[in-house]
Amino acid sequence: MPPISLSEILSRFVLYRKHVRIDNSIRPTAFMPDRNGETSVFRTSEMSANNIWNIGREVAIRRGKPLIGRADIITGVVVSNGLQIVPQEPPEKHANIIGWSSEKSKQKEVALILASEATFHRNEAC
Amino acid sequence: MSIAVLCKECISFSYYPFIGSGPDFERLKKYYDDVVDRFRETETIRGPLEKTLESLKQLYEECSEEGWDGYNANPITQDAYFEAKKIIDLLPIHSLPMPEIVPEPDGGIALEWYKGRRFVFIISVREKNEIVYAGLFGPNKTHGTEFFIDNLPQKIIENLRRLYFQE
Repeated sequence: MPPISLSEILSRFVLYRKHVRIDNSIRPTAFMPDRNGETSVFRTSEMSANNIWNIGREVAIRRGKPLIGRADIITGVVVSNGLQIVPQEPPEKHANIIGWSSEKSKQKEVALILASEATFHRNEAC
Repeated sequence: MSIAVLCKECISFSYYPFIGSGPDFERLKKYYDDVVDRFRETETIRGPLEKTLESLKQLYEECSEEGWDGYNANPITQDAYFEAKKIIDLLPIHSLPMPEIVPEPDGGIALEWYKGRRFVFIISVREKNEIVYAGLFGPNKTHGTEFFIDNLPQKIIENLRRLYFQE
């Protein structure tokens, strides 16, 4: 598995409608870590839009939720905020963002920055 | 002779941090509360407030089961629901927009004020009497935790002012 470069795109699939604002911007809560301190993402650089959406649909089906869309963010933004990205396959191309502060307010601040730098793509089929 | 002193903690007449005791204080406080209640009953104020409280209730019901976000989120706690309701009631609603209510994966509830991509302030509640906050104000950022009981902490008011009246 190739190491993750700072220019790689990470996609976070959004499965809950309130993680997206009315102006199509992503909310920080979409990036906040789960109870294991991880944010699940996929490495989607150089993948076609179709392939990316296929992965998203699989994630949504597996988790029993609608696929609202995806938030894309550059690895460099994640790393420059003190976080790390660890590949964790299967599924193919899956990785986790780890290294979140144990302090919730700091987590929120970093999630705010990630959200402000991310680009949201709505699943038009949803 | 009385001297008028500017209350730095008051960003609206509907929000006033009461400190005092005795019968006169109680009488004045009741009178003041009645005035604020009547003000809140007006259509322009009551509409957004009711909409926000309805949104909170809906969110509490919608996110009451584990995994509501598709990523193993904790269910929203009852404490978070009541603390969020308490904060909404304390907001200076005639001088600030109502926040968006957003569930959080740890079972907390966030109140979000969003002006633009890098102009956001969020407060969260999950446990009793504790507010966790973070904000982006253009190139500046902040985060912290505040204890609260009956009044909005000064830090929260300062950051809301910063978002809407300074930056």
